[in-house]
Amino acid sequence: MSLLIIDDDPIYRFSFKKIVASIRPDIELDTVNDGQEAIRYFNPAEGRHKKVKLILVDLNMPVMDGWGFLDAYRLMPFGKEHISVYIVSSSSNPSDLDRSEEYPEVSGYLVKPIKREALLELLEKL
Amino acid sequence: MEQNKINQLVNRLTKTGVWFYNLDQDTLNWDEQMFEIYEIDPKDFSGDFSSLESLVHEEDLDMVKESYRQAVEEKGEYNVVFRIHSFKGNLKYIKANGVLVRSSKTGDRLFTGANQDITEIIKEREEKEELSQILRDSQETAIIGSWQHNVKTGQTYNDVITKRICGLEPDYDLQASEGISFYKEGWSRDTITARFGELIETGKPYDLELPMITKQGKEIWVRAIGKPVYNSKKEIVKVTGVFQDITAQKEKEQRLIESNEHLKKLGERLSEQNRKLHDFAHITSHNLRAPVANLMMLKELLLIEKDPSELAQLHSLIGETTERLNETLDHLLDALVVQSEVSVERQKINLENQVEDLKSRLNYVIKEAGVKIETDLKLRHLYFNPLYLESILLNLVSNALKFRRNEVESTLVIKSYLDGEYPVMEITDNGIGIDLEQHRDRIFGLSNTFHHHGSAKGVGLFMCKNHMEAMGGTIRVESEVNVGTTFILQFSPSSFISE
Repeated sequence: MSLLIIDDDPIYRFSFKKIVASIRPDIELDTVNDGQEAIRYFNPAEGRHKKVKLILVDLNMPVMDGWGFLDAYRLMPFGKEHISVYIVSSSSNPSDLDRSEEYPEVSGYLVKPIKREALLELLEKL
Repeated sequence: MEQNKINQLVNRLTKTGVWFYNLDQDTLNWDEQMFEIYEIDPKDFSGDFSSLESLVHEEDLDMVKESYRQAVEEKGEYNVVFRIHSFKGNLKYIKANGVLVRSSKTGDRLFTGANQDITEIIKEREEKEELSQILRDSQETAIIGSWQHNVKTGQTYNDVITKRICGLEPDYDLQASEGISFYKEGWSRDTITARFGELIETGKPYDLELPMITKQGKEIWVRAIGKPVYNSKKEIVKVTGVFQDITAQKEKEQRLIESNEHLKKLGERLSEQNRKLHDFAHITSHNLRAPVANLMMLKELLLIEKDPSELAQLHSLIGETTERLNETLDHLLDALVVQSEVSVERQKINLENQVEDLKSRLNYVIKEAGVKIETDLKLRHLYFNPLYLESILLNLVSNALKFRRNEVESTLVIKSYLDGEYPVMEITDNGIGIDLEQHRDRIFGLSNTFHHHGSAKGVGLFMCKNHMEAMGGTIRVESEVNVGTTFILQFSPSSFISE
């Protein structure tokens, strides 16, 4: 069981990884820079989709943003019933929140920084 | 009917009374009609000639007395119009004629004459006068003139007002051909010439609003209406028209249009400012929230981390994040200042000096990165705000220095030239490029970064666009990934300054 972080901010990735390790050292955590890298990450041939149970995706990213990834994710040819997707963004723009409702794949929208309780709840899923 | 009866009838119909006065005997005789005019019962009339004086309107009394004196002493007759107050107190206008004769029998001086009550005629005339005065007044207020042109004789009649509108004396003989020359040269004169010709030829009427130049050289607006007049054979015999000075109206219209334009611009500026505010909300939520979120996570890690080397790394990350936060704040403040500046000063800027200054400011980075900078400044000067230009060039050039491709020798070309009336500057690099397919819409917005690159903060291009637009210019970009990027600054024509 593993967690995938899609975020272009290296300090965020670094800190998040450390905090998760301090709470649940058993969780395997992967990070990618942007949507395009996430698509490559989910190359069906490599079978990573089987072990991923939680995806936290940022919205504002270069190359391919969070929306682009979500559009591509919908088309990926594997079962996703075991995977939860959360948007984790520093944007509290209501239009982003509204837009996220249009994606049935998205289970929730969290604004950075994630509160400790919310993080604990997320990790419960793993 | 005997002559006397006929006379009486005529007198009654014309309201004319006849009287006889014997000067020497001082006896006065009135006919029936006289009593009616003076509105007195014959029984009550004393027949005293001098008592009649009191009936004459005080303003006319001297004139009546003088006429009477002259008739008696010099002329032997009189002919006056005066006003009376009848015995019943009604104001009446009397036309009086009289002749002095001598009685063939007694040799007495006899005055005989007629008084005609012309009150109704006068009243009617006064009413007409009043009406035409009202008409004149209203025409003058609306400044409406009229004209006629006889097609057969080629003669034009223009009324006083038409001539006055053209700035001419009332007795000036203004003919059509000269009249047309008062219309402003160009489309106005061409239009009236064509339409007047068409009116005469085909009878097609016109109703036009055109500018004119008066005799005194003042530009005015007129409404010119022309219509044909046909005879019984359906031939055009005359053309006639109305001519009105509508300058004031036009000016009001113009002011209305201008204030509408002004409102529209205000509205546009407002929505532009709203858009920028929205951008600001966006950057506070992203560019500020992101590092703050990181700081909070780092703070949490500080509490749990025990390993000294890990702690040192956390410290350095906190330092880096704080610095980034501070820089973002600085940029935001810059942007705020730019947006609140209402008017910005322009100066003649020597572009060559400007580029040299820039190179010396970035000297360290340029040397370290080994960037070759070429300049091709066909346009040597620009009339622009020096601080803005410095900021724009600094942003674009430092961007180009940042996003180099490591595998090639980095070059940067700065050009200036004139494209039509627009001064243009171009900054071209051979760096990593931007994927415009993906980012074209957001490239000059706030909080946009396009590269996985530590230095990308996404405020610089927003600032460049702001500076350019504040001075009436535009900025656009052409780019290809792994080939390079060109930023094109197009300045407003007012930024051009001769050498």
